[in-house]
Amino acid sequence: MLLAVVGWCASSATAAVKFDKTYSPQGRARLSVANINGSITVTAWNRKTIAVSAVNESSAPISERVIGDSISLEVRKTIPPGKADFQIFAPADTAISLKNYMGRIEVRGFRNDVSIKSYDSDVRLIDLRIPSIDVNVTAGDIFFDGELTGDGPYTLQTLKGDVDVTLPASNSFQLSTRALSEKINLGDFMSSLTGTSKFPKGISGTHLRGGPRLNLITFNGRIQLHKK
Amino acid sequence: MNCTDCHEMISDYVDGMLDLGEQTKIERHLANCEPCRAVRDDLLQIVHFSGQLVMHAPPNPADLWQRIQTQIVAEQPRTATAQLKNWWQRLHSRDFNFSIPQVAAVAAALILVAVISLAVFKKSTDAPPIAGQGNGKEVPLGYNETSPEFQELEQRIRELKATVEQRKASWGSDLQSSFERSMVYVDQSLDESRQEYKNNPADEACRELLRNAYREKVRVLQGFANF
Repeated sequence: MLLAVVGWCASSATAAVKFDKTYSPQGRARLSVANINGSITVTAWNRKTIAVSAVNESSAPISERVIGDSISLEVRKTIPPGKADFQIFAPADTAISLKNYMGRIEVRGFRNDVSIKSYDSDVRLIDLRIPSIDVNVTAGDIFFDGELTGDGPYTLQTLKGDVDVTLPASNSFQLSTRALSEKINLGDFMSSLTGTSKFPKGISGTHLRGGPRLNLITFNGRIQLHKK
Repeated sequence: MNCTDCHEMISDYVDGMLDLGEQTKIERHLANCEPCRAVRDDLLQIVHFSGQLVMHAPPNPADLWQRIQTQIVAEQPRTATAQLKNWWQRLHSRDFNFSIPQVAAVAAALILVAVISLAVFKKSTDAPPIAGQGNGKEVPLGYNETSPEFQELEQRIRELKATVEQRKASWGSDLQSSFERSMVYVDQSLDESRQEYKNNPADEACRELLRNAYREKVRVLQGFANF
């Protein structure tokens, strides 16, 4: 009898719960998601609504706050922290701000500012044509395939992991790369950089007309820049 | 934006001379940076108090400048020959009678200057490796991790560490492992970038990496201290 009660308690603590919500912002939305343990995937679509779907343990309750066109979702901090995996669809002009402790992050197809802060996450950023980006992870690879369309800055930093960036040859930027490991490979961009400064731990230079700052930083990993 | 960039632009920001994009970037940085906010507040105070100072102006500025210019011209010799003659007369009219102690003091000073010059010359011909090629055995000139910026970060790290240590025991194993892993990477990055900066104090990339490593450590500790 006692064992049955203990078993029931344990299963309740980790029982999966579904969180399904749809939001209808009137103008350009700002979406913030703060997770602790789990993945966050945000994909742009051509509808005007924001659809959030999460599978979270009951020990990872999700609270929401909506103020005008600003939508914030937060997994409440519990001890021990529960797991929550988010799958979100939003209009392409939504500004995205994601925070996590551990778990994969993927952002796809957006046209507005993106900010990502995490400690232990691989970050994949695909088909982003954005005015600025700020990605900061302690451990994890950062993969970016997109275009720089605004004044920036564009900052991708990881302490342990690779920074892999693919950009069109037509993008102008002011490049600053810093790698403690000295593994910096600028590919075809190297030959088209001007005003280049080379240090043992970094390379800086101007591509085409310069302009927005592109900062790529890793301490223990590689920096790779590819032309598409 | 980092603090160096912010400091370069903060004065124009206070004067309202930045365009909207730059203004936004500075404001984003100020929202998260107390030292830069302090700089901004100091500048605002200076501007405010300067604006309250009473303006002093001569009653007839044009007349004043004319009188000053006339006086300057009157005191100067007109031609180059006159200037040279003026200088020679001043030199010739000086009294060069020195006492023996004065002569001895001058001689001693000249000998000292000669010895120091010789020592510096000799040292420069045996110069150690220049910055950027340090052998790591000694701390070259220019390395300074005791700058206020790094000291502040160290202080913040100590405070946050104390908070985290108090709370860590109550976390689950997943969170503890994630924290320990993050700290290993952060401390490794900090140690390596510190060593690189010591070896290459003139290398701006090394300094930036060290600064970023410190800030990352603060960020990790802040994030886990909130648990």
